Amino acid sequence: MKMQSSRPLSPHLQVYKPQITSMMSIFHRITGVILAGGAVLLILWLLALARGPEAYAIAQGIVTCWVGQVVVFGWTFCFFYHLLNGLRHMVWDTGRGLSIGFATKSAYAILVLAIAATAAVSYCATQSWSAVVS
Amino acid sequence: MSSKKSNTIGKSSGHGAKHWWHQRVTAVGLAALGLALIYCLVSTLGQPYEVAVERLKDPGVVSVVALFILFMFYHAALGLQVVIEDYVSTTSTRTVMILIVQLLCLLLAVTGTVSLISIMV
Repeated sequence: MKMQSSRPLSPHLQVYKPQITSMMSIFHRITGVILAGGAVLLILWLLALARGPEAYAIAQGIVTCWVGQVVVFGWTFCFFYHLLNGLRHMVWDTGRGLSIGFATKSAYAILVLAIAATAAVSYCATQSWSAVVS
Repeated sequence: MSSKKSNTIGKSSGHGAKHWWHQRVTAVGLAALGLALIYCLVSTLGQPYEVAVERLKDPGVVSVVALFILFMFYHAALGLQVVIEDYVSTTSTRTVMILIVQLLCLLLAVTGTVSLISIMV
């Protein structure tokens, strides 16, 4: 195990041309971390709801203000991206789809689907806020 | 490769495979639970207090949210462990960070579940 060695590393990020495959891979990790962070907020929201109307009002204020909206929207996109790319990973786990063709085509398909799904959910969210669900 | 003691302490073999498998199991569970969660919460997130509480008393909704929380924090703990292992080279720092992540995930999972019970009751 490397213990803070001061030996030089060969350049990697500085020289390797970014490609859809590598970008999707690191973004999968990034969305994972973001989702974990967002989950903390979900728990805090539940806690506020459990605590009562006053606490819930504060949580609502945060969720409905524009910063909260951006966070919820961003988390939703990260969720769909991570879900779809996760499925792509599990296809690879079975040994299928390991060609460059599948890797690149599925990459673009996932980006399109994730954006579409996020848009659909966001639209549904706006619909529900104007009508009270019984 | 190395015969240092620091490379021989810890668990015996098989734990990497277990980690890998549990990550996949929770991933499949979360695929379904996550979609169900979004379905439940999309109509609840902006609602007034009374409506939100009523929604979260429904046993179907509570089951989905509770299972999501449990699966999610386990999946996150496993995933974050791999991320930390990749980027933190000092053994002691890495161990402490993984420990903190696992404790936080447990704390948050329990807090979430207790909140759900508290709303139901």
